[in-house]
Amino acid sequence: MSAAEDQHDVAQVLAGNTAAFEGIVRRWQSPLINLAWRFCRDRSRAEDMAQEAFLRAFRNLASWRQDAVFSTWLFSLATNLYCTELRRIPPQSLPFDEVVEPRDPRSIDGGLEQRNREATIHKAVHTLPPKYREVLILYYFHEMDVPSTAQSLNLPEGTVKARLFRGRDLLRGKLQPLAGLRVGVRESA
Amino acid sequence: MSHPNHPLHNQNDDHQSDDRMRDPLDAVLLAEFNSAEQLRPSSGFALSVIDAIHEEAVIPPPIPFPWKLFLPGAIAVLCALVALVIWAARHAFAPAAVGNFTLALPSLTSVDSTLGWIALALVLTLIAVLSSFRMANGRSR
Repeated sequence: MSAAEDQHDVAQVLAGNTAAFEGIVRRWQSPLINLAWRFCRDRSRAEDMAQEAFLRAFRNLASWRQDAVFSTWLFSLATNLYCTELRRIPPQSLPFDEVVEPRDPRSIDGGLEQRNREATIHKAVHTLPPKYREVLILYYFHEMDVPSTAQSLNLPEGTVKARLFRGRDLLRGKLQPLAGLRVGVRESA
Repeated sequence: MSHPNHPLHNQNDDHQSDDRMRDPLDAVLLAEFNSAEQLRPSSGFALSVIDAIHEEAVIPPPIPFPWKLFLPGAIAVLCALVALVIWAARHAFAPAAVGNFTLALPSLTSVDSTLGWIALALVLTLIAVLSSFRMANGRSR
């Protein structure tokens, strides 16, 4: 995704060409929905929150100071919105079938074990206090990149590291029963 | 893939990836949360966002509160109230300093103070009427 394209589209929108925002939506719809989905595990809510994030971005486009990359600003705005929204209305515990949504190309047995494990992880993460949960979700969403996580949450890197350490510690305790399960990154679809 | 800012293994950059793969919790959480796994947006998502953006664009911005018109009036009313309090306090406590405190009460209900109240009420009414006219004119321009 090109930062130059974002910059161009933003300039167009600020100059009054609203249609140029379409490019931003097309480029960033998938990352924003995926981030929202990782927070709430509910497709329709994820899309609603992503739509609200785009609307908020549109309203506040003039406040983007171009010293940061557009995507950083957009993620920060979206994260802020998602965290506020989920603190206001916490995600309901989902039916088991809905927990693993994106794909499931595996065999029935393997899929069941995988689903069971994912549901356990999901529950464990979502029982963490919000400040640890948010940091953990963003840290792994950004592929273990502390600066991106800190920028998204508007927190100092030191705070992010401390919360990660504590969050992982809490999670380790909750996930002890998983120790016997096979651990590994899922194969791609 | 290197992760130079891994919070738990940032002492030795060369071994970060290995460390990460050795930590089962990282592997589990990466599998759970990393962005490689894509949830595809619904087919109409982009269109609905763009429609909402177009709707948003045609809505006129909210009318800002007319602080420039409101502030002078508010300050004038505040000043009048302060002046009233000072004036009332002087009338109430000046006789009390001389003699009995109960002497203050008749002074407040005297003709002077009644006229003062009436004058103040008239001034405040006048200010309110004038400021509402000013606001209405400013808006219609």
